[in-house]
Amino acid sequence: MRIDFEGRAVEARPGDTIASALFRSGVRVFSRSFKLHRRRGLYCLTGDCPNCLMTVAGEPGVRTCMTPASAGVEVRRERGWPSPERDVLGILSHLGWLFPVGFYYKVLARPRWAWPQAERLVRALTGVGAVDPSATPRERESINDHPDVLIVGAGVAGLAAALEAAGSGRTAVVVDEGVPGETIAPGSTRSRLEALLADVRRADGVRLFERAAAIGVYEGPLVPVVTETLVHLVRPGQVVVATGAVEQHAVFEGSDLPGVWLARGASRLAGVHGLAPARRAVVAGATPELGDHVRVLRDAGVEIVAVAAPHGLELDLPDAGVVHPGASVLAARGRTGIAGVRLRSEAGERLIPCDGLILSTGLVPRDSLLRQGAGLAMTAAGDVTSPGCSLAEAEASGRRAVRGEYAASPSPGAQATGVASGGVVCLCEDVKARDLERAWSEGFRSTELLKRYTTATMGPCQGALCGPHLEAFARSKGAAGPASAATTARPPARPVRLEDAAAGVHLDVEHRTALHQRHLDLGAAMEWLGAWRRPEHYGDVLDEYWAVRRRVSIMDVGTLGKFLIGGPEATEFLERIYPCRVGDLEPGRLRYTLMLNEAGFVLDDGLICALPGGRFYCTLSSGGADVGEAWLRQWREFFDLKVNVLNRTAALGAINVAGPAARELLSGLADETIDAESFPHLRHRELDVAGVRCHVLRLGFVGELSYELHHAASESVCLWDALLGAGAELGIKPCGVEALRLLRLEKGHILVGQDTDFDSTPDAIGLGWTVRLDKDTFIGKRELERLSAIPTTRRLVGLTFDGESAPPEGAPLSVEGRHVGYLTSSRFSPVLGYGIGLGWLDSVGGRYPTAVRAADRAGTVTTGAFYDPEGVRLRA
Amino acid sequence: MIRKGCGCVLELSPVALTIVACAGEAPALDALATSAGGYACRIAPDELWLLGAPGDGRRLLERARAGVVATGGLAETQTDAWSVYAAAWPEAAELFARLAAVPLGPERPVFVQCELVHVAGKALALADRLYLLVPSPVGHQLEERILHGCRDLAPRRGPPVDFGAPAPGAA
Repeated sequence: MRIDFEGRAVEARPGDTIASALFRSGVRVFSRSFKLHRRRGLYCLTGDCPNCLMTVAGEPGVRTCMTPASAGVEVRRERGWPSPERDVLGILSHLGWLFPVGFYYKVLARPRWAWPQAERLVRALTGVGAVDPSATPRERESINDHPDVLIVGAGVAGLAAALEAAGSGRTAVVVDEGVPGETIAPGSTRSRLEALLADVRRADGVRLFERAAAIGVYEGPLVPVVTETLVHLVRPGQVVVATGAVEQHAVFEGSDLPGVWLARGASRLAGVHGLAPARRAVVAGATPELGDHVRVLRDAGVEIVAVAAPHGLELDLPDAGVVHPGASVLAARGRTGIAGVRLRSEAGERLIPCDGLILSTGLVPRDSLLRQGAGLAMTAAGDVTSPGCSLAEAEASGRRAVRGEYAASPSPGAQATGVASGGVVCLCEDVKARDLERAWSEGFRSTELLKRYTTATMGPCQGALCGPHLEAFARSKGAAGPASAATTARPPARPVRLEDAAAGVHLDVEHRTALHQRHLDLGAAMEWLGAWRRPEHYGDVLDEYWAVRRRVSIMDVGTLGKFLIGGPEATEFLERIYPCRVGDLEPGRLRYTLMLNEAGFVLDDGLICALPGGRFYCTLSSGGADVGEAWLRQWREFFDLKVNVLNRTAALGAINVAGPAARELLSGLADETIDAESFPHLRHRELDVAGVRCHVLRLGFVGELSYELHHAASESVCLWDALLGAGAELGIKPCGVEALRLLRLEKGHILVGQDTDFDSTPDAIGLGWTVRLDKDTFIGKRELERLSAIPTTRRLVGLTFDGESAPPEGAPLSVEGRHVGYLTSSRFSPVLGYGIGLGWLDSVGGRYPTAVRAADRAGTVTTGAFYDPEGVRLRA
Repeated sequence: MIRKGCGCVLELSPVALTIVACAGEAPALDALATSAGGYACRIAPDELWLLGAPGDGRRLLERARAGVVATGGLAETQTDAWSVYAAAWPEAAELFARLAAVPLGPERPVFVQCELVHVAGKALALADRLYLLVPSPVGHQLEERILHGCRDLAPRRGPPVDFGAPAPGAA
């Protein structure tokens, strides 16, 4: 198997990760650091550091130490010109003193015009991989999962927890970033783990997700788990965190040179992949694992030239001569990689030539998830609570955790050793120890402030390596309590792709009426109106308009909110809901009404149709159904009245038949006679139209003779086709929303939301006549009474403009250069021959102007309808 | 999780049915749930649905009105307000998990009201199949989401089926 590494074929063996295959091929520089372009080689091999991040198959920031090699995959490093080995910007690593922490907050702040240029330069010189904006977005799906127990980490503790859960009859999901055991060199730990793993695979009710990352813990608890195929939104009854520990990053001069390794990573390379991380290595550390690491490295052919260990650490090595008891590492030397290690011991300082330094200085709990979930149903087990615990302890703690016997509290972990001034504290963000010193001296004297000022812990590893050093540094300066505590852990705990973050999120919820396909068949241009898709026009707005004014048209108004309201106290209920009178509405009559909120401001408008038996059929504007239903139900509860509400919006379709020939069209299709006397304006009745049972409402939003046919939505298509067919001789046209906007504007009818504001009162929009303040009560009455005592200073007015166009909607209105309002609606009126509009107008000196300017056009203020102000046509 | 290679197919069938919605006082609805026939789903203390086969519409509506109108309640056919799809187990379990955040649980029958494809929906899990209900204005969306978003499950559109409850009773 071969992978494509920067244009050359690199051999990979079964079981190789991309990183191990590259290392085998001789690659030693895997990346360049974030700011200073320092060479970086493999370091942790556990996915905890940023050193091996590369672009894999076009995806930047991939942890190649955790990613299996696959045939033909394209891999490239992300920084360095002309190559990462010889990056010309490597010069920055010698000029770090020029760019102390926070320098761009101060140095580049003035002059202001220089910042955009400086920012571009900073962005070009720093950072890591780049997202390809031309890449095709990938859609990811999510799935909801509800196991009894979620176990994060399939080490010994995690697998034992899974077996305990299965034994007690509970379902469990175990997630692991890799394949359990794959990172562990052969030995007792791996043997025990493989035995547990075999049991887990046989256990009922346990699912194991390999190569899956738990990226955070949210309230619930909700734990998103990113797998290779889906993002699982896991909502378990209990979370067991068994994420283990990461080896402590050491901070001394040269500690980030290629060739410096964390010991578990070096052992993995040697024991799992059969690769020697170095030819001659110094091993330094203080953990009980140190001896095991030495043996694994030797087996891989590494010459161990020195072992620096504290006094008393039993290493059980055959050649005790290489051991330097009490020695510590002062610095790593080298230019392109490590060439020697300076040790200090009781015998003095000494430089030992080598090409590898293997560090096992301590273990730090990988406890980000645990800290994120503080206070939730979580327990913990294994190294994450007791770093360095024995296999038996880990296994027992896993079982106890599932039984809830283990309190989830982050372990203090290994106490980080001090930081040497020349060392890099944060590998991700290139923050050195001297940066922390400077930040402290400038007054940033807590871990949280240090984090924000230096950006330490804010890189891909999210503080897994550098967090303990930040705490240790703060403590060394005398900080205590919260000032030296671990910084707040937040998701994501592991790098997450944007496609994973957006998995399963589909915000394009599109509401369609039953006639949607008919509109498309007729060539309609569809537009969004709220959540609905509606026909804007069918190709010729003007023709649609003239069809309404001169012939007949049909329009899909199935989007209107529709409610059936009944019950012994329905009338009383609606009297309180609406500002108009309801009790005097006889069956067969309908009334236009506003709906007000408690402040007396317009919430919506619609119709009330009185039905026999004390029931009412009420409509609201398109898009008002959901809010309207919630409003009605909420007030019903508050009033505690015996009222029933059924939302009929989706069950019923509605088609508006409008135009001078509307009656003629319907008469030919209805089962009963339709004439002006038997079916006058503002009446409603049941009719069969083209064999479809319709509730027909006679009204006139567009200013012409109009009938709204409300019917079972499943019969919309049948009715629509029949109307279009029968109307052909009458010149019928379907009418879209754009023509409607013009038609209603000519009539001076408002659109709630477009012509109203959040604080529009009925009086201010010229609809005070719809309000009966002499009613006992209705929502908003008290506020309207208060407001009525104050003269209005702003009102919605009509405006006319000479010429064959109208100023654009939203245009400001002015009088002698003074702003006095704005246009809410405007169009050129074909039937009138001039521009018209509605707009909010302020009073000036207690009087409303009669002439304004809008977009350099002279406008005249009018009142009432522009077209057929007496309403003769709609009452025809 | 569905084990791949078992020959299972996720078949999504549109369902023809009758939905009669009844709004009224709780005792009247309680009585109706056991007497009206059809499959009774309690939407709220003051709302009950009766689900039945397509041909049951008139009968269910008459019984529902007889049960609630006398006390000022409402009963109307709401069939057209909902798009209903059915899928068989075990594929339906994963399908539901893709669409809804709430667990269905092992009990059957069970009726849940939950968010499906980002809109308020309902699900009725019977012994042999799962019914998904979403408002008809977004019915297309549910089908598209399943056919597109669950394509790794190899979904396909099945023939229309009639609603058939195995046994009447309140869910």
